[in-house]
Amino acid sequence: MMDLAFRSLVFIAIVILFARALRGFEQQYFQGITAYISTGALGLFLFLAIFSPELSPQNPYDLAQLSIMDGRLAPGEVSSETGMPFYLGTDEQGRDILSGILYGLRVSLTVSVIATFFAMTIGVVVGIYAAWIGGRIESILMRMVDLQLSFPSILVALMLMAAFGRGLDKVVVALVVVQWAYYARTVRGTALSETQKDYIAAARCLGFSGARILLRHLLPNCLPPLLVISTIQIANTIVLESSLSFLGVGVPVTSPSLGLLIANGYGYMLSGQYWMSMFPGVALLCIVAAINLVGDRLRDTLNPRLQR
Amino acid sequence: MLVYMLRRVVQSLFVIAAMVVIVFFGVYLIGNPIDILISPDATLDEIEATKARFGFDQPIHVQFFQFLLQASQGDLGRSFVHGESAIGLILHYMPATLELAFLGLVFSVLLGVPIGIYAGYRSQRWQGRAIMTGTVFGFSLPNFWVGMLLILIFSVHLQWLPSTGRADTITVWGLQLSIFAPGGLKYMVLPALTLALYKASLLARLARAGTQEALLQDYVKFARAKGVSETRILFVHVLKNILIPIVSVLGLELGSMIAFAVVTETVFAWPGMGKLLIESITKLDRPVIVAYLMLTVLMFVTINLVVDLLYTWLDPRVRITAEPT
Repeated sequence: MMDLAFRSLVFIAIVILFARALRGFEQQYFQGITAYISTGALGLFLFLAIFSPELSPQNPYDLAQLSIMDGRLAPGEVSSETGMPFYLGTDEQGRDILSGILYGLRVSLTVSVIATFFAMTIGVVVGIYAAWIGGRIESILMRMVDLQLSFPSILVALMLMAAFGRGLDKVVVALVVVQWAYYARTVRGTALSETQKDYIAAARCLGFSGARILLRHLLPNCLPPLLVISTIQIANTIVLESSLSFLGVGVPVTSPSLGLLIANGYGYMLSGQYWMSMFPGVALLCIVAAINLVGDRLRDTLNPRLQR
Repeated sequence: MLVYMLRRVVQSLFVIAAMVVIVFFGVYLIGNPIDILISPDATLDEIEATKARFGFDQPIHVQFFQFLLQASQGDLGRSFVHGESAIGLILHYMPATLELAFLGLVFSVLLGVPIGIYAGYRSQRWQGRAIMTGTVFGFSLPNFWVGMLLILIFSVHLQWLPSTGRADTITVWGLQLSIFAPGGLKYMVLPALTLALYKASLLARLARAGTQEALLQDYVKFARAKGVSETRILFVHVLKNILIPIVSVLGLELGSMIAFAVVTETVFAWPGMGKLLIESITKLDRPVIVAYLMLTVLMFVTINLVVDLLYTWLDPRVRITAEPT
């Protein structure tokens, strides 16, 4: 019960944070039907991911609930033992695809959100510090960022996963390494232009310490553009993670993400048993598109605030 | 200028050196290849003999210096699995990847640029908005899933195109290419299209932004006043002007195409170096992984260097800001 209460709190907190970020900008944000649909869809996906244990018809990783007799049933067929309907079919072990998707959604989202959070934290620290300190340290840090960004993310992630081996924590580390540089570059850019502004000069004249100016004055003003890129980065991270898992170097088989579900079903695709990888793919597409569309709206909405 | 160029070259060499160290020690961490090379019931003596044969009995720093010494002679070791020189193996698979990436790039330009120009032309109408939403889907679609969908539609259902593999190659300019071979294109259409979709969406957005800007310029007004048709304005006058940013982006995109080909090649069983890499990772074939990574690092550093130097040459502003540090 504690767990359920905690997850409910997380869900409510996300909704409230989103609403607060948009406060006063609702008019600009909700333009056109796409904005409503994508925001609604994203909310729904979050809900599904957070409450997947309660919502899914079976626990796909509890072997006691699986029956090999139900293997590879087409969508709509019912279990030969329990009579439970499989709306989206089953995989070769008799696992309900719908439940698999709900749990997979959870893994995909958790991995990406955690990775994005850490990448953003590291990026913000490096970016703001570089902009503030300037000089040689700044140029060394920024050279590192350039170096990192000059290699395609999939290649770097693949390299790291090849070295680490499979595992949830390892995927997160690889995704953080791939991403931090984006944030560092963006934050440094914003911070450089913000430090030129009068309020920073005023804070300095008041004799505030460097740390206080950095944290209380500079940091909050660097955050709005981060909100936009972090939304889009979460989507990119989900795709990247699913690609790694598809290639067999991502999440472990014990906690499959959407990408791994697609990979598992791929072998049956050519024999016409499309549902095993088709439906997880549709789910993946929908969530990534929803996040990207929300990110698009956020960028259009929050841009005027940046220029003000 | 010369100082800047020299510094840039030295920087690149430094990057390569750093990557050599990272790659070697990173790859060293991946499992123990001995487990795969010998049968589980081998005796201790046999294990020791195999270890000695591949040099695994040496401490890691000795192995590293041996690796450096050989690498400087263009030898990155022999593949454990194939028994051939790792570099030779990669070079053997490279033309397949290059022709795929090249065709993918061509497709992405042919798809993305016209769509983007049209979206820019109709940016305030529903067509423009629909295309923009469509491009979001274009780069939301995971590469491998697009490939699977294309196989399902065009190979399984319609049976128009082969699903996997590559046609027999013919030798063109000393390279084993299938693109010019009879029926070769048929095998390449689906994987190249898969590879192209993501880039096409990005190019469409780039072209749209450029077109919107270009349409406000005086030369467009003048062309309209002269009575030039809208199609000609868009695909002659506007196109010429938006090509500059597109071409400069394309250079860098070829590199990322090669990297993303890893996924596409796996889906389509395309015998390129990406597929070789994935197979080598699963089989712990260290020399091949190292050789692949070294070659791609070299390739990327070179591409970046050339693009940077071209930029400085083309745009003096970069040169001026880059000089004093």
